[in-house]
Amino acid sequence: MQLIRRAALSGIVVGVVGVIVLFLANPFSGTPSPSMGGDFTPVAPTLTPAEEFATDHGLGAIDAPVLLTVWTDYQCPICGTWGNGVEPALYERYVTEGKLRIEHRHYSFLGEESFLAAIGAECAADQDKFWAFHSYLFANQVGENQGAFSAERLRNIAEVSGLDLAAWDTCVADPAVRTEVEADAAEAKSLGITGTPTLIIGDWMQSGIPAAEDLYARIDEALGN
Amino acid sequence: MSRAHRISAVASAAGLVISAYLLSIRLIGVPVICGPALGPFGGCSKVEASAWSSIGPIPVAAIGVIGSAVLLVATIMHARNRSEGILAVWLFAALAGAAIEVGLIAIQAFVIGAWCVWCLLYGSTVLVGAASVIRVARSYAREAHDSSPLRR
Repeated sequence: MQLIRRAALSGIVVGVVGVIVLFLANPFSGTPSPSMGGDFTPVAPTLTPAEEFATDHGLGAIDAPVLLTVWTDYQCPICGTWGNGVEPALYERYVTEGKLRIEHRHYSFLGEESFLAAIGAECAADQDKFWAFHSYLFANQVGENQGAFSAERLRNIAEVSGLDLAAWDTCVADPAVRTEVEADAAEAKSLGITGTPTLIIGDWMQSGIPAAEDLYARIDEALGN
Repeated sequence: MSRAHRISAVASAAGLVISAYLLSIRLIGVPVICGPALGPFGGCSKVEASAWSSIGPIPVAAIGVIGSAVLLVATIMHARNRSEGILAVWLFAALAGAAIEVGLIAIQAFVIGAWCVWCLLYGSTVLVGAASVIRVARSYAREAHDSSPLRR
C-alpha cells in the first residue's frame, strides 16, 4: 500500500510541477519578447514573384484556367507554412506556367494583430503591392498578439515592401478599410469556413493544407489533366 | 477486465487518437476540423497558435501522445496481472496527467481566452482515465485492508 500512496502523491506533485514549468516557459501576458524591439529588420520572404504575376490580391495570370482561393489569418502558423512553403512550390509548378492563379482572402479571427496585418495588406493592395506585403507578413510571423504585427513593425514591413509610407499611413487610419476586412471575415463565416487556411477550387473546399500530391492532383484535375 | 479497466482503456485509446491528430496538425499540417462554426469551442487555431501549445521545442500534443500510450499500456498490463507495481505506475501517470490537464484547461479559460474542442475532449479522456485508476486503487486498498492479519 505504501507504494500506491507514494505513486499517487508523486503523480500529483509531478503534474503540478509540470504546469508550473509550462507557466515559467511561457509569458503570462502578450508582452513583446526581446526580438520585438524597435530595430526590427523584416526577414525577406522565400518567394519574390515576377512582377507580371503579382496582381491585385492574387498571384498568377488573371485568365489562368484554375483559380485557387485561399482564406488565411496572418497570425495562423499553418497559414505561415502555406505562405512560406506551399505557395512558392505552387508558383514554380503552376503559376509560372500560366496554369494557376492564387487569390488571397482575409479571414482574420485570431486577434487584433490579425486585423492590423490584414488592414496593412489591403492598403498595400491600393498601391499594387499586396503580394510583397503579404509575403513579408508570413515570413515575419512570431507567436500571436505578441507584437509581431504591431503598428510600428507593420510600418517597417510596408517600408521594405516598397510602399509609399505617407499614403499607406493615411490608408491604415481609414476605418473603412477595417470594415472591409471585417466584411471578409463575415463572408468567410457565411461560406461555412471553419478554420484557416481554407482552400477553394471550384466546388472543392478544404480546411488545412493537404499533402502536396493531393493538392497537385486536385489542380491537375481542374486543369483537365 | 473490470469495468474501470475497460473505461480507462477506451479513454486512453481515444486520448491517443486525439493527441496524435493534434500533433499531426502541427507537424504535417493535416486539415483542422474546428473553427468558429463550433461556437465557443472552435478556438483551435487560437489555442494552437498560442505560446502555450509547446514547452520549448516540444509540442504539448507530443506529451499527450506519450502520456496516453503509457496509460493504455499500464491499464492493459494491470488488467492482466494485477501487479501492485504496475498499478503504481498507472496511478502516477494518470494523476500527473490529470493535474497537467486541469492546468491546461485553466490556461485555455483564463490566459488564452479560447476553447479548443479537441483539447477539451483530450482532457476529458485523461480525467476519466484518472477517475478509473482511482477507483481501481481504492478497491485494491480495501482488499488489502480486508485481507490484513489484523482483520482476521
